[in-house]
Amino acid sequence: MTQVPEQTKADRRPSRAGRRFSWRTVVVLIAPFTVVYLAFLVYPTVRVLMLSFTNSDIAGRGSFVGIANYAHLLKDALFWASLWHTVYFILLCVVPNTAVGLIFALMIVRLGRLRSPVMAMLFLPYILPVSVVTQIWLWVLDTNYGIFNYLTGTKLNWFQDPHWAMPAVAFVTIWWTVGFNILLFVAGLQSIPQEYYEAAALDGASGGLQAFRYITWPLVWPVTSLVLVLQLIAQWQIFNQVYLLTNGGPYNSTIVTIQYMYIQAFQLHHGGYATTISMALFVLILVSSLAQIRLLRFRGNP
Amino acid sequence: MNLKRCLALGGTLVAAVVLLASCGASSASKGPTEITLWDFLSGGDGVRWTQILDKFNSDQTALHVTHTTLTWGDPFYTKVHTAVVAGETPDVMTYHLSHFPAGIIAGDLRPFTQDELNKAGLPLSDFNPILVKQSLAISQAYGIANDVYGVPLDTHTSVLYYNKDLLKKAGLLGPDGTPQGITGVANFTAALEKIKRSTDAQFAMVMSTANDPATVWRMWYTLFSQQGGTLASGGKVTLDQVPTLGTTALQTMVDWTTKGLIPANFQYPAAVALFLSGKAAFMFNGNWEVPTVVDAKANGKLTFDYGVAAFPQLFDNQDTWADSHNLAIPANTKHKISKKQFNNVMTLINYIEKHADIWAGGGHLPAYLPVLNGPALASMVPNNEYTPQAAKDVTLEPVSPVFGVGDPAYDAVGNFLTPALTGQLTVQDAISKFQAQLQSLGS
Amino acid sequence: MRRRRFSASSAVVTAITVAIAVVWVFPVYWALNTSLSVDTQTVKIPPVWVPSPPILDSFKYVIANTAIIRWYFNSVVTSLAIDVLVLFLTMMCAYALSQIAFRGRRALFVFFLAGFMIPGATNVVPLFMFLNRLNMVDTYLGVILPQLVYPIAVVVYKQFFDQMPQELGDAARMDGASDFRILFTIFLPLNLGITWALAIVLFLFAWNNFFWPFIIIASTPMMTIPVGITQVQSWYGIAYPRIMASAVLAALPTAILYLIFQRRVTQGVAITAGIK
Repeated sequence: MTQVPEQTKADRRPSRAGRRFSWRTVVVLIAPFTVVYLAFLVYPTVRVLMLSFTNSDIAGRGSFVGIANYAHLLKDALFWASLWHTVYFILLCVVPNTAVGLIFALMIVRLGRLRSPVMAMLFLPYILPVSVVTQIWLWVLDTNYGIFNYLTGTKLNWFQDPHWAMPAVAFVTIWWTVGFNILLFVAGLQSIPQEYYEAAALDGASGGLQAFRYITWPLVWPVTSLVLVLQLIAQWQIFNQVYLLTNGGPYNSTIVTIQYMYIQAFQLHHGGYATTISMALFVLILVSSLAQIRLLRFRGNP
Repeated sequence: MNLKRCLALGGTLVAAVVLLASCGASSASKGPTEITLWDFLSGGDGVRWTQILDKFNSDQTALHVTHTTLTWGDPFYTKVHTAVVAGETPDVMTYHLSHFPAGIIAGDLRPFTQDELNKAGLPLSDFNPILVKQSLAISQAYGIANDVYGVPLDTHTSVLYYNKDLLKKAGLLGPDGTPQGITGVANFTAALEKIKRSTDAQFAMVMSTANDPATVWRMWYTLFSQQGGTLASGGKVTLDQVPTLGTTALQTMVDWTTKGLIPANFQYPAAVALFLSGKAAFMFNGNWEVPTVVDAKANGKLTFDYGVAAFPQLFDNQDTWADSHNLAIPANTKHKISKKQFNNVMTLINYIEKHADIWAGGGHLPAYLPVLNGPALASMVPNNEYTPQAAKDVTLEPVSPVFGVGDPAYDAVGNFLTPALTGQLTVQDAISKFQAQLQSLGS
Repeated sequence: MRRRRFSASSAVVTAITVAIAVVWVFPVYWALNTSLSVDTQTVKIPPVWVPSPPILDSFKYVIANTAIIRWYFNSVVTSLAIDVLVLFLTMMCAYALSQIAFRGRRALFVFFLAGFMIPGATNVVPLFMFLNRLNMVDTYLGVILPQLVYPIAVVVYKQFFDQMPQELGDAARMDGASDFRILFTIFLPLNLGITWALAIVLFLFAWNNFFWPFIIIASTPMMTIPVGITQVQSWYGIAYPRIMASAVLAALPTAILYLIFQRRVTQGVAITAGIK
């Protein structure tokens, strides 16, 4: 994503560039993927924009209504609430998930024989389907008989308390996905040559903290920025965990934007308005991830 | 090379499977004509339901019904609409009477004329008049007058399960083995307090409250209706009694939670499990949990004697929340149901109605009068303990697309009434916000 | 590898790390524990740490009373189809982009890269309408087709193909081999490692996908495992051990896949995330 693979030198080699080929072969090779790409990615993206100016139902029947949907969107309190909840979720999730991933990775790379089993344990949740994850946590965090409340002596109703529901959803998300971040960080940390640390030790850089600040942190930064961007794009689209853990409750306090789009489209049959919501989110995702990429690139090149 | 062979094999396999599966779905085998049915019935309901359908399949050879179950409430009705739009509907489905208004407006339901019902041997006069009256009122307000949008199967209502051992300990069990001294709200609350004092019950009464607006709604609506409250008339939402009678109803529930008599935040399965483990004297729940306690008793899991009673009169009357399962035909937008298949479906419905005594084993009150008033029901335990009373006092959901299973009023309950139970909102706040949301939904 | 010094502090760090890992997987153990318990045991305080005796009733109930076997079948069919088709489509496309110098290939590649910026979830409404017009709602094809768009796999394959020695293809071409032959008999076998890694990870992602099958499937018999198990969680008379049993059953295939192919899974995940 951040690293667009460089065009390799091979591209410029005269023999390959000059060799004869038949267009038929090229078409047969690239057409299947291109058709799928056009039909199921490009076309729907264009349709989102077109539909957002209609009052379509979920079958796509409807007529042009101009910017009425957008006008309504601006005044729709639940849309703004859902947007704020999404942003709140991103705040709770993206940076903590990255930090936890990095800390765990730093701990793991110090391990010897235990590294592989520990890595496996931390990565295991990531390979579970989301609905399995949510069912496990609904049970573990159950107010009355959940093992968590028993062990900690709390009586909180995590997914039903307006103050705790979203943090709980974010926590479950971190539990589920941090293995992915750990994996990337471990790979990044392993690629730092050991000599750097030895040289630093000779120079009298005392202790782990300084080594972290002057060696690990800058060298692992490309991975950090990759992890941040990947997460931001993913977490804007939060739906599954919220739908399955709180269903937007309590009192709509965790309803998120994709969920609101789903409700408008499939429960209230407002296809046109739902795509207006999609469009707004699409623009936000695009702008924020481009901004983030620029920002992180800048910081990443000291 | 190994992988190449694997891929080729995999590709062929996938193609074959996809092909087979898509053929299997469309090719009609020579055997009986297939009827597909969608329902939302699981647990004890699901067992009885499957029993009736299996019996139908083995009793005759011309038709064969295949049923599939989706989760009750939002996914079910969302998926029904998806199926109607996509033209992938079942032939027939279960449907809540309370969801008829929303279903009619969405265009999901194919109406039955009374003529069609008569021809199928199911005249409306054979059904519980309370249900028929409601069904016709809904058609009048939102659909085609004098048609109905489903054939009623049952009435289901909230009942009071009780633990005889605990009630005896608290001195609340009458000589006939039924609870005594629980009529009137003051007495009922006093009884709950007595249970809490004199037994080791964790809660005097359990009910599902967490993440379950349905049960909270049923209790609140019951207490509201028992004071003579109504929420809709003539297809219009009327909320003027909410600030008065509605406040009393909610205050009563909040009194119970603040005194620790009932749990403020309890999941549905936890409520059932707690009652079954003997740690609660009463359970407020639907009659559909009857098979759960019957089965638990039968296989020795229950260490106490239990009983089931109609919900007591706490205010001016004994009105109790109720709803009705119906059998309905989806209005498929791509292919209309054929005349022949319609008749097949009617044959199935007719069969189900006549075997509703099996369905009553799920705790429900059959809608079909010959079965409701028949001998099988009179001797059915524990149904006969609550059916006569419950049949008289049902209060169906308000006639409006706002109310009913999977409809927006549930959100309003979850948003504002549930938080009052947990103390996150004051009763006054909760009621005024609840009313405001209903107002905006109903207008 | 870092040189390890045996000191008290590193022993403490090791202990803490292992403790965290154990706590991290504990919920999975707890789900397993509950799934093997009687439902009255699940409301005991203090909780029962090890089911005694472990019973399989909940598993039997879930298998007998839900369509879980059918859901397994659906998941296998759709995930395998997605897996194999994506590999073929992207491999072929990447081969052309990497090995054949046709006009516009760079533009095409950038066009595919741009797909990364499109968030999938915002497209579901028009996708649903489109597939509805094709009469593919509630069908395997409806589940499969939109999941075939995996530009990342094109990028990965192209990177690997770009690194193949030039002489390889040239020699084969001298012998009159077609591009298809070269791709499937030379390039593919030489890139088996990455293909396995991609295959396993794509299978995992397809198997675990919740959102799209949830949208496009209407009827219970067509559901995939992750969607299906949310359907047994009905309010009416369902208990924790059954919910956990269905969760355990749903998690089993991917968990086993992971335990067997641990290295390939992590490799595949890292590669599709954009780093090697």
